[in-house]
Amino acid sequence: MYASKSSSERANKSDFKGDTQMNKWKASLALSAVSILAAGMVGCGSKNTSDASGNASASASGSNKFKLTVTSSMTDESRVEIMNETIKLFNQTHPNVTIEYNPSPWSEYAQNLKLAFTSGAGQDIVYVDDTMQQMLQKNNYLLDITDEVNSRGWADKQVPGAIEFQNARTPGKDYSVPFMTAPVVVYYNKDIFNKLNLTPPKTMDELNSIMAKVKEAGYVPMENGGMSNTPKMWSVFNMIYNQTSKDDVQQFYFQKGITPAFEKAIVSALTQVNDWQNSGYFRKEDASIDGNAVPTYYAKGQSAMVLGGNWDIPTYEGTKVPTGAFAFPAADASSQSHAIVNATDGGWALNADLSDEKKQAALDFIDTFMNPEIVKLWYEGGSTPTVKADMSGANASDLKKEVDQSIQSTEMGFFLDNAVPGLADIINKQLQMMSFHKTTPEQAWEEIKKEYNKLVLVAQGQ
Amino acid sequence: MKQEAIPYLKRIIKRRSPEKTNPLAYLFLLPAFAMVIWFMVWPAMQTFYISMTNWDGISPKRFVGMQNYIHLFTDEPMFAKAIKNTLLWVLGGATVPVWLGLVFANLLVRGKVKFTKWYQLGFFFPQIISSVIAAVIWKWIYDPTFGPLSAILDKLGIARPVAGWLGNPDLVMIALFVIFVWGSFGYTTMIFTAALQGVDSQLYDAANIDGCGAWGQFRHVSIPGLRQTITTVVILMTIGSFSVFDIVMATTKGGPGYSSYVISYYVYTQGFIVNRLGFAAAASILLTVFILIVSRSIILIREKD
Repeated sequence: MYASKSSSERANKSDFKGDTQMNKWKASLALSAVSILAAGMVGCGSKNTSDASGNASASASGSNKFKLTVTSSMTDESRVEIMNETIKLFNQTHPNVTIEYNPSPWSEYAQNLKLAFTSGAGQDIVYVDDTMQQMLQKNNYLLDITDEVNSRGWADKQVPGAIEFQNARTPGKDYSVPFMTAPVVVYYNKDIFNKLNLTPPKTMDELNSIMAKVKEAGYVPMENGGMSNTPKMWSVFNMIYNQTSKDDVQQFYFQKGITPAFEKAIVSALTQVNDWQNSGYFRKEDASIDGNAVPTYYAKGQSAMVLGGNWDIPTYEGTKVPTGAFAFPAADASSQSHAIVNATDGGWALNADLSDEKKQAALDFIDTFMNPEIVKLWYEGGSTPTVKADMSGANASDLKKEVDQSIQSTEMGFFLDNAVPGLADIINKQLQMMSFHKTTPEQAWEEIKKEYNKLVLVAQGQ
Repeated sequence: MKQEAIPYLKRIIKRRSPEKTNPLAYLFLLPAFAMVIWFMVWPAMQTFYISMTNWDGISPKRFVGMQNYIHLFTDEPMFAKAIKNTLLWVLGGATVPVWLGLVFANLLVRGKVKFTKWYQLGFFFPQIISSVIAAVIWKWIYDPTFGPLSAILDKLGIARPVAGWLGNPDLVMIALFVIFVWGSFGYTTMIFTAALQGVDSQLYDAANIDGCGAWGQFRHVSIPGLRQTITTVVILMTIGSFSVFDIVMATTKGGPGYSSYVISYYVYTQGFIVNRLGFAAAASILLTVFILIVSRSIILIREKD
């Protein structure tokens, strides 16, 4: 009993001591956990500017060798190859500069740029379209290169208006320099056209007549890809250019509002596309066809026409269907101007945090794209350069020559879905609903307008 | 005696749970605890904060309070459509794969089927494939011109929708749901197979003696015996159905129109396409709340039973 009493007393005392020790352990463990977390958060939260462009390491080491990081959305094999050749030529005059080129797919490109720049790891040279440029520039991530554009004579080396077009959202200030445009043309099946004695149309009436004849002959007048509706969307934009003035378009594109003339034009364009749908000018299974599968359907040889960009030239050449190209027709024969969907593809912009040494090298890198040898390389690869150069000796395919020939007398026009981020998805959804008669062109426009106004407020930070 | 008993009881209780008094146990738990805080709790707190801003992912954040939550319910018809589609998906996702799993598990364990291991492997095979790859494969299967489904139906002389399955607003949800069930019923089958093997076989013998047929044994022995497992699986499938995204992203992107818009895809569109990260964060917080309410309700209903 004594033993148990003393052991219970000892147990009580030791329990008390144990409790105190236990509490101290818990407190110290909790404190360790919090300290580790806090250290981690502080470490990860700080902007690591020295890694962004290697400024610190370059200047600290005093070495002339340094690296420039470059990114774009040109991930297709042919353009990656041309890019590598461009880098090789740059390195002939700049052997001390290593270009680290890492493109990422278009679908992730904007997000990757945002992540890179907000985390302090923004690339030194980035290829941006005008909305991405606006996104980075308004947050002071891009360098104003207006003076350099002037001092290096780049405006004179380019076709008139190209640099202004690329920098249209910041009039008077240049943040990027383009080197190619992205025209959208109509590719057509020459066999079907020859069989039906058709010639490329110059007016909308001629286009409608061709589609009716092709339909009657049992072919598919126009490929589309209803899951993304890109050709339909481009058709709508082209028809808007035919029916309204440049000012009305610019008001819409630069988020300044929607004019009545623009509204009338877009409703008319949507109505025309709806008529095409109801007339059976697209495949009956079009709604279930993905945009990426369109060339496969075209390759069956049963489709007369399809809208595509100049970046699709290798794809349609690969279908082995004899293919030609023409510009989307004007409204009528008396049309004074003929604008088509054909914007600068993008432009090279510089990170605002570049050191002087890196800035000069980066500007020299952009200058490489004005080199006639490089312009010829890109031209032969299917691109339409904005840089003035003699391409008569270039080794271009027949289709490439036809594409360039077809757009010669046309004016540049925006990809209107780029007016605000997210607009492409909304237009696509409304086109899909129209194809199932779940909405009319007027109702579709009302929905697009409502969302456009909302997205403008978002884009302007309100 | 009574006073001695209390400290004695305390010691007993403490001795019965030594891990609660052993600081070494906490030390071993620390890394997991830190990871949960760093990868789950902290991001959740950040998401909640972002949901109260109008952040676009790159500009400075501006605090807007509950504005995003209010707009979600007053100014976003697409969100309402996404909720409707998601609830339909949850209703189907919490029942069809569960029932299929129960039936197939019962057949494999209780039915006189040979090569049951091979069947289990076959049923589980879709789980090995990434859901995105599975969705891409099914997109090809559903292709109205090149897909094998159209070819088989044409060969059998069975009518099929002219516009295809994924492009038809009336059929798209069913078509996508088939992909979901195909990918998940193997998982539920496997769980129920394992659980069924824990049900006392004497109960089946007793039921057999009482004249219970196969259906009666399934209804009165298997299902009651698997009650807890069924609840768990239903909750897991509910959560999985609420967060379905990859199938929609890889196939229809919410289309045609908004017929297959689900909440997760809405969050993705608002956050990464439209650059309304604050708004998307609010939608994702609401999604989390829906999931918590539904799962908790399922548990409460089962506990009441």
